[in-house]
Amino acid sequence: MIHPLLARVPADITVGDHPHFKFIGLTFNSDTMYTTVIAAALTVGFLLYVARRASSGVPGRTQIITELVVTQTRQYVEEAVGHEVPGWLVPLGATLFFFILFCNWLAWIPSGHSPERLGPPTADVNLIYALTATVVILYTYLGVKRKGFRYVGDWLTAKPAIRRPILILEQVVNPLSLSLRLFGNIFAGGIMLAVIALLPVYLFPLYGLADFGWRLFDSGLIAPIQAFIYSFLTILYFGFATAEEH
Amino acid sequence: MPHHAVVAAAKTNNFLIPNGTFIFEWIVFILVLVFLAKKVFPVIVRAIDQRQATIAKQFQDAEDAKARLEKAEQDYAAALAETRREASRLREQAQAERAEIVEEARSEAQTRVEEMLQTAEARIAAERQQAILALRGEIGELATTLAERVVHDSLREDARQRKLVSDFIAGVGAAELVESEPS
Repeated sequence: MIHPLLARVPADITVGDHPHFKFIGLTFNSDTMYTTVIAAALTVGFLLYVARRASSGVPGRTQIITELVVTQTRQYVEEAVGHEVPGWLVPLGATLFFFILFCNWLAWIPSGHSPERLGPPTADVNLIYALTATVVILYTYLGVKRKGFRYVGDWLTAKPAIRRPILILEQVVNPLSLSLRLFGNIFAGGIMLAVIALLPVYLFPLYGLADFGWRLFDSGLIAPIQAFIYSFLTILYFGFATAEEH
Repeated sequence: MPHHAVVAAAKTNNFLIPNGTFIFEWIVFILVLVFLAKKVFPVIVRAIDQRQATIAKQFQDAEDAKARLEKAEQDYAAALAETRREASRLREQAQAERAEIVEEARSEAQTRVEEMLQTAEARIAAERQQAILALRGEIGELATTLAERVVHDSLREDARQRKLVSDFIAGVGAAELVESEPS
């Protein structure tokens, strides 16, 4: 028999539910929209703050962090793409990192709702597909610009022949895995919070501890790691798109 | 739970399929990307590049200063060695000159000594010759006086006696000269 206290806990963990509205026949997830705007404002605000105070002398703490990201991105881009790096590639990599990081960090703000009303927008595929679409369009553009018809031709003439179906498959798998890795990690962080919330009421001190501990782990470790992986792999795919067959 | 009503319609949706939100998200991201790429990252990148250039320049300056120091040290060592060589050369030269001067002085003194010796010898010889001549006259007088006294007769008028005395004196002078100049 279920304990009366347990019976009162809502055991339905909702997955992928969002407050939403309809507009010109399309569904819009309102929570994802405003959390995205918040994250975008934080990203732009933070980087503007750094840029305003940027000095070529001794940098401040925020400038050191930002410069570390930009310098690393530039290094990866140069290693992956090599010569004639387009001017937008380093900003793309760095923007992805900071934007995803600030999105992920929204998990730190407890909303007290289930599903989370202030959850990270990276837990919604809509944002991630938008990011990935940008990335795919840009690396295809750069690949075609560099290699012309050979961009597609290389997939069909690669040697040994076994690589050909793999190369074609990669065109779908790479962006999909890029998207779902980020989505899954951040989404799972939200589910973890919901699971912790299912702790029996009489264990509420443990709930506080577990909730706090998980948020700390999620935003301190998972959030930056996922932001890094996403932007790093993006640069890597630019490298694949522009690599010459030998 | 009121929000359940709100989300009820979404229950049938697959959460891996995007909806209209995708368009909004894309617009927001593109705006953020364009703004940051145009206005913000160039500033940050410029600061990084300037700092790296400054560091590279400072490093270069330090290298240059080090090279200059090394060169100065080499120059100093070379100058010192040159000075030492010069000093040594001067010392040798001075020693040689001193020896030369001493040698010159010695040979000059020798010459003067020889000259003085020769002068003295010549004067001695002349004085002796004079003395001999004077003595010869005197001895003649004495001998004549002696003979006069012996024979109590004046021989001054007698040419034969005078010749005898002269011969005697010549004989005495010749014997004197032979004695004083042994050949």
